[in-house]
Amino acid sequence: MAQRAIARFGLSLIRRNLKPATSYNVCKKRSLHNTPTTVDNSLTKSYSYSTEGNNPTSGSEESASDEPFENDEVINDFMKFDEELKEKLKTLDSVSIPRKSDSLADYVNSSKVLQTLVMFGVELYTIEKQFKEALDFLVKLDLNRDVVPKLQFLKKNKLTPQEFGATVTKNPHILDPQNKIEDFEEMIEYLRSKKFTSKQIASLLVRYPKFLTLSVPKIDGILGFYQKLPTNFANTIYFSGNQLRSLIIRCPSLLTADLEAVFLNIKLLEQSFGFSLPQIKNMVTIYPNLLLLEMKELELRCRLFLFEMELTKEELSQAALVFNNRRKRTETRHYYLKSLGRNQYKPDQKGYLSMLDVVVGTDEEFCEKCKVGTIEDYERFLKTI
Amino acid sequence: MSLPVTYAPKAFRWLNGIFAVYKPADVPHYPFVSSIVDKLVLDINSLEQRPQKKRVVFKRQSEIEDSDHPVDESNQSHVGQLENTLKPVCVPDWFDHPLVQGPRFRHSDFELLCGTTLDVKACGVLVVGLKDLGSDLIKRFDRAKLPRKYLAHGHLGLASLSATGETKIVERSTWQHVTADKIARILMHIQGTHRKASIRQTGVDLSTQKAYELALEGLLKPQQYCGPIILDLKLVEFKPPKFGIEVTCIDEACSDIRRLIHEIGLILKTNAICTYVQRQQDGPFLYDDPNTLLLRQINVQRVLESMTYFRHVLTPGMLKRHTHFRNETLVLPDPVSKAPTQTLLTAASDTQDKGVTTDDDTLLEELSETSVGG
Repeated sequence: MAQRAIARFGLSLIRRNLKPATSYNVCKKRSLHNTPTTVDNSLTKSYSYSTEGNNPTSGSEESASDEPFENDEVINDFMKFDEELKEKLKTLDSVSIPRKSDSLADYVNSSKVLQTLVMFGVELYTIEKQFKEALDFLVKLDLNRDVVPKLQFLKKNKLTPQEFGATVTKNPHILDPQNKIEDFEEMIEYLRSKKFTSKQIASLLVRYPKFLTLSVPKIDGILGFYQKLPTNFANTIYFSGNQLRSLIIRCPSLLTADLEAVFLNIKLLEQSFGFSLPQIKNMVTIYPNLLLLEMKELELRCRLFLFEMELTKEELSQAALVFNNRRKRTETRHYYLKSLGRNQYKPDQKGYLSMLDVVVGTDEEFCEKCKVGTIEDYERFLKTI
Repeated sequence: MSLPVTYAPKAFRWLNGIFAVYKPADVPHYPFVSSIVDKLVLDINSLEQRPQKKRVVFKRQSEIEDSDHPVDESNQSHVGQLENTLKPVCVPDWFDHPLVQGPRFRHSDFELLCGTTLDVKACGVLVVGLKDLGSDLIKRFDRAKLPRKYLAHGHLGLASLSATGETKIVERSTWQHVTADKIARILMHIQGTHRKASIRQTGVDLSTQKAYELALEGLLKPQQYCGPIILDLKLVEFKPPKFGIEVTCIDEACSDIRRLIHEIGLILKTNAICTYVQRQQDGPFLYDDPNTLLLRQINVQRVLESMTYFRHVLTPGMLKRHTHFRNETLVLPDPVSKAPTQTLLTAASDTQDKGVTTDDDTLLEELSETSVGG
């Protein structure tokens, strides 16, 4: 319907000495993108209006151009619409934009801001998935007013242009006009007052830029929580400033973790498995991601190491890096060693295998380090369990 | 297929067929299958991708001269006259940029269909069809009703709620009277009843020429689903209280194998639980074949090699539309004949009712005499 209407009005435009190429452009665009524009809506509306009065005249309009219509109101409406159309065609942008969309992809061709973001390496598809609320302001951004100062701020904090993409992808709210640069600078100053070096701040900005949009009192409270980590019996595990800084740098997602879950993990280690507080502190300093594990998963891994592989708590607390592997993978390696009769993890007895050799690394590295045959032997074993 | 595939759309076109993977125990079915697809998607996205698309834009002549896009020479002669007319120009389409649209291949591009599935506790070979050709072949493979071979381990003297070692143990009994000979006799007995039942379910008169021809082709078996039918049973190891049996059967689930071990325990005047079920063979797919892939081995190249290998291993009739799978040639069971017996014990009693001469009674009596206690 609408296309036919355009074609017909295109004809009338030609008769009124308008450029034919321009009207062709409108038709072409509609067939390409097939999305409603402001121009199209007015076209369809006026078309239905003009045909309401007398349908037979629409046919005679094409054959005889200069003959006056019988109905004067229709002619006046038509003339008014024609003038509107002329003005709109003059100011028409080269790309049509949909009014509403779930995806940024529809706006990339028309938006200079989104194009520059893509050139910096921002992954728009991950933003679409993870930050749906960010799409609204991303489309409306102005390059010089909103984006450039923010990028200059990032550059001032010693980020290279190659790293802008990763930072904006992980936290697009940096570009939100409501979040001002003064707040960001306040946060950076707070971190400096806590003796984070500028290098550490830059690495935090690349790896975990979510902290920028948090408030300073909140971050202060979180750091305070981790400095005196609460345990079950009103005791706390105290971390010194250097230790806390290394924890945050190695595992920055501690900043937005659920603090109750962290507390429950510590409680589990202390109460269910009977680790002493120095042992827990040792484990956390070696592998801080331990606090972010699910409680059930942590319990299953501890059960595997303590009861199945028969490590003592002291040994496990010193080799806490073994938590950094999938439980299933560790289990199959243990069963393989058991089938060979080589599951010997005590350092003072014969045939000792280091836990780090067994657990950490790929299957090929495991076969090589522990000297338990080739990878083909291991695969043959995997096909029996 | 000897050369490695480097162009992703080509690899995607070829990833279409049937292959086998090895499922480990303690992994649920759906997470396992989706992790296969995840690995394939990761691997195919690391290959060389198709170039970014272009789009046509209409520009004024003055704009074209400013920009770097090339213009046709034939149009340049009219520059003076037609400076305001619009010209078509090809520009790269931002809409199709990889950073805007995401990776070219997604999880939903790979439709994956499985043959008979394995449950959480079972391990073994799992036949998998990728995309439309694969799902078509899987359906035909399932209708062919090829026998599957299982290895099951039992533990005598225990009874649990679900006939496995995982659940609560509800009963303990003595097992010292059980010998390998006694288990073997029981197995022979079960196999015999099942074989008779399966021949009865074909619905063909056994004295006819048609029955003879079907038997020659190996198709003298029930064409419709009628419960698990055991074709072969073997005792492979016996270290009391543990024993292992090899079961070849059709139309079964893994829970049927566990129930079989439970019932063997009952016939032996003791209890038994099943500790291990492994599917060793599914038609032509073997578990220890190098082309049966582990999860850690899965990538585009290995899957393609496995597909080409199994294309030759499958019977050529499987790839074509087989004549005896059509409805006209299907041998339908006799509607008058009874539904197949579900449990093994009732199968045994069924044959007794019909007056078939067996030595079931004497066998059971012997066993009950020699047993020490229940």
